[in-house]
Amino acid sequence: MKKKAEGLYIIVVGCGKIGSIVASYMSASGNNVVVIDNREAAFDNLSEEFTGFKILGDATEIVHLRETKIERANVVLALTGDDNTNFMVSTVAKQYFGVKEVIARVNDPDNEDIFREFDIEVVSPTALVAEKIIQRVDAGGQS
Amino acid sequence: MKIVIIGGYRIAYHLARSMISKGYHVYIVNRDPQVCQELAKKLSAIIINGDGSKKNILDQIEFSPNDIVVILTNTDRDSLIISQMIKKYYHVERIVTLVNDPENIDIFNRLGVKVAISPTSLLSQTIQSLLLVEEMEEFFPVEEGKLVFLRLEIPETSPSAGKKLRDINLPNECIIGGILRQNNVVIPRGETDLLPGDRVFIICEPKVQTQVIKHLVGE
Repeated sequence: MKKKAEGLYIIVVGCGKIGSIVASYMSASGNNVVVIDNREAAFDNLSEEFTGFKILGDATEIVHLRETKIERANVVLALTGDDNTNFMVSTVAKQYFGVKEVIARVNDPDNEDIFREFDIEVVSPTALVAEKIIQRVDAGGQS
Repeated sequence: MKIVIIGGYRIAYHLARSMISKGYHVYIVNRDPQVCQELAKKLSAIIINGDGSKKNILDQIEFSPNDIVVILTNTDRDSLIISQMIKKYYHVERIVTLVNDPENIDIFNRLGVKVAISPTSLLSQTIQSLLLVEEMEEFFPVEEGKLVFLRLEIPETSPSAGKKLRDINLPNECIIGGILRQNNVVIPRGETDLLPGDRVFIICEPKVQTQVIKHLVGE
């Protein structure tokens, strides 16, 4: 993130537990953040430092995605709990609106390949947690 | 070659029945166990119970590249990931997808789904054509509604009746393909006169259809 001084234009799709933490942090550290979620209550998860925009709507409907000015985004983060939603948002951002950096949360490890096929960066909570646990158990076994 | 139908209930059933009667091997994937049971009772098709957007379910079907896949799920996000997995993993090219949000048609096309059908936009176009005029006898959208065929009868009161075609100020995005006059076919030329009672066959872009009708039929 070289352009830190001016701040990036970041769109966060999904304002659940993960999305809200990421959006709050990104906003507090000087980026322009737009969060979109189809549940109004989800925005309560955002911290008080969040100064970006909130858009109520389903990001898989292009009308709502356009409201985020997605074509201008530096980064799109697809962080909902539903892989199919994240896939649609990510491919649309990448292939349709030409967003350079797209990162998606992928919950089912079986889905990771199809995201990668479309040049979408994948973060897998499932794999991360599993890895951590395995590390702990292994470490415990050695001591 | 087989036909694989993913999702949908009523459409899946009727489509499968008609394809089976034509002699095709039909596979159905549906995530609702009850729907699967019911379809299994009524159809001689291979029924797979599971989420069609999961690779391990799709792997159960031994796809070959010349299969036809029909995706009928209720949500576009499910249909999109299914269509992309089927293309990438099994190299199936002939994919027909039902698209709920008409605005998504373009996205599906752009991502390599050649046939994306939106019932919403087909219905709304048909309703609009009903709202237009009663002289419209036929309305037929093709290529996901990018092109429209119209058949109109020219009424006595038409502002264009009695005029030569070249003097009628029709938009450029339309063409008169033929005229049926008392059961005779007239191939239209610039000097052809348009007469009341003529049945006119028009090909046009949907954006000018209202304008065309206004010129040929009147308000």
